[in-house]
Amino acid sequence: MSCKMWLGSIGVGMLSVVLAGCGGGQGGSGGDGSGISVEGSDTMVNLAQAWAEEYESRRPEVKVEVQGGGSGIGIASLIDGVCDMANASREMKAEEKELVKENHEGKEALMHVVGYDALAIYVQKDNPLDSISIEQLAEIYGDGATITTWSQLGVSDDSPLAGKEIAAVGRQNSSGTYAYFREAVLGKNREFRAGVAKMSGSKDVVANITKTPGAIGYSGMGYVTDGVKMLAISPKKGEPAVAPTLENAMNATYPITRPLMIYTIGEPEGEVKAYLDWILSEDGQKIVVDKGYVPLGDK
Amino acid sequence: MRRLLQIGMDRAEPAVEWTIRLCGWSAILFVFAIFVFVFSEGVPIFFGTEQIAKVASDGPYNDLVFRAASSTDEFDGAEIVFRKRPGEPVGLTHDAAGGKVTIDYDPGVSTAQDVVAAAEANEKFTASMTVFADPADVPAEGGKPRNDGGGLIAPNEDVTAMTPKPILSLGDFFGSKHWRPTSYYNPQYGILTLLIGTASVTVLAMVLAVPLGLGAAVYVSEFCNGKWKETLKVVIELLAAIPSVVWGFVGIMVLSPIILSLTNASSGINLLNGGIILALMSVPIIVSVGEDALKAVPDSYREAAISMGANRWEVVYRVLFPAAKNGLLAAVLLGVGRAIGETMAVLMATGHADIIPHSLVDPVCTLTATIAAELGEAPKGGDHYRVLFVIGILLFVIAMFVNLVADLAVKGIRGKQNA
Repeated sequence: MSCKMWLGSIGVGMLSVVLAGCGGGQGGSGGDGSGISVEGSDTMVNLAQAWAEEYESRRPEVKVEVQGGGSGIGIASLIDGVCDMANASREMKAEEKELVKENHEGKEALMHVVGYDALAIYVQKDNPLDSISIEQLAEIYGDGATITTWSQLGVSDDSPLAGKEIAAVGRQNSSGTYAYFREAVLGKNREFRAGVAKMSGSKDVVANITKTPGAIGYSGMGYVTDGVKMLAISPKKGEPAVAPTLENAMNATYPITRPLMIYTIGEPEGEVKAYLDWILSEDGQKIVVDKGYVPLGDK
Repeated sequence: MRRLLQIGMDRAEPAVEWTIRLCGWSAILFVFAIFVFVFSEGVPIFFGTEQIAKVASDGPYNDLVFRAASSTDEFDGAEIVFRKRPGEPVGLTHDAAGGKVTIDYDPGVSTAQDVVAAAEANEKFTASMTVFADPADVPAEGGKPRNDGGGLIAPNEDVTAMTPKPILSLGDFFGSKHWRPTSYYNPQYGILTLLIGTASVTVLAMVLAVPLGLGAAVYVSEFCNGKWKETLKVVIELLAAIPSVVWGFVGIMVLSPIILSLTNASSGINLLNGGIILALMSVPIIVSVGEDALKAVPDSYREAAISMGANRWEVVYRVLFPAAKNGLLAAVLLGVGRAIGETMAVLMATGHADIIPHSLVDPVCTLTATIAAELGEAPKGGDHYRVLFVIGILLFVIAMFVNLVADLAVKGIRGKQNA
């Protein structure tokens, strides 16, 4: 008898520990004044972390907790009320907006553009190619692709790449980067061709290209490393190519630049508002530049 | 003192017994809960429908397809009505009560492209358009190239009502090679390439792992003695303890440059790379289960064979293999199970590109890797999300089948030994 009671009390104890754990988790992320929790886009995670660190060093009493995972995960967390801000490199879908309204008493999700990301076209450092046009990219990545070898891009015959197949590298089909690239380069009516490597992260794209001489790929400009180089891009065949630089992205001559967004539920209040205002301020935007993204500017 | 301890243990016995029961039942409960969860997330897709209407129009043989953006039955049977409005831009309105979708257009001016744009501006619809140079090119259904194009709309009698169509049909699921779950206009959920990807990488892994694994099992069990045998067993089992992320990394950092330098491959992470990595991951399982199976063959068999004048190889080939064949089959099948179910390493090492491989150095995309890469960002409760769970159900079925066969094979050995 006493043994059963003993066991029972252990059970109750464990249950209470579990419950306390859950309660603690919810309290910490509910935006109770001292903590802000940010979740979402893989493209933005470096930037979001840099913002959080800098903000915490200025206002140590505020804890900003940043998690990556992807735009979809951030938005899902926002819907579930687990985070205060969702980083997103794509716009919310209609059904996601509906879910926000359903779960938050009719409050709408609000979009705040906090910077821009220029998608760079990467090749390996030793690649002889320096520029490429949007049409050529579409013929490399699009359904029914006509450009499959490096020779077709004008690589000279004495290069080791001559006659070699182009290894097209991209992102997995649920990523915001994938959706943006499709819209900007292929157009809404065209699909990607089969056989584009679908990497799971911005960094993975660059890492893959570093290891593969015949690879080409797209990823955020901020992910550049020593092993790769970024190609200049001409908006149309024959037009001069635009180098992937901060100035060109800011004055909108660089053709593949997309907005980076933070979603909140309704108008942000209290600490979340203060944090968002700081992100949009000159100090916050300086970090955008430091991390290789494009600041808001006067665009 | 010992007596006291004995009393204490007697007292604790019911508690221990209950703890064990609790563990057993909670394990069963968890497995059951996971089943229920995966099925409840995946199965609704089979009951979901989307509303589609086809509108044929004049000009360069346009084929406009309207699609309701949300899977509600609001549009079931809704009629599509064209209304001439000279001098006005194309407009699209939906009258839910009257069951009508009205398209206002300017005759001779409005193009099919304008209708697509109007549908896009309306949150409830998406529309896609295919333009063919020749009416003979218009395919019967599905698998069409999508081009931009103009063409005046001159609606004729071919306008159909919005008709519900299942989002996922089993035929398309298994038979189509287009895995385009996030397409803007026309999501397609065909897993043929993924199935072939999983099958090809598994077969390659087994071609490499079975001779290696069984060879190692025979070597450890029959040709080794004493300390050497124990050391080998420990080392091989250590292989099984390496996390799959590390294997994937080995594939990218070590194997990939080797493959690139030895072959004419365009990318070093491909079918061959994934197959080798999976083979190395399956070998420890095949070795340890295979070695157990060989150990289970009574020594009298070996002694009898040797006394007949058989040499070592003949003992293995003529006596041990037939006697232990069920156990060895189970070892291979467990290796197969490992190869099919592996996720992280194949995601990293296979190149993860959805084509049907034509050579060893083509990249492949597997079922498990697809779930791993896409589930995180798929909108919860959406069609894409549900289809990924259906793939999960399929993997359950495959794993169950492989385990069942392995189980029956092992039971086969026991039956024989008892006889």
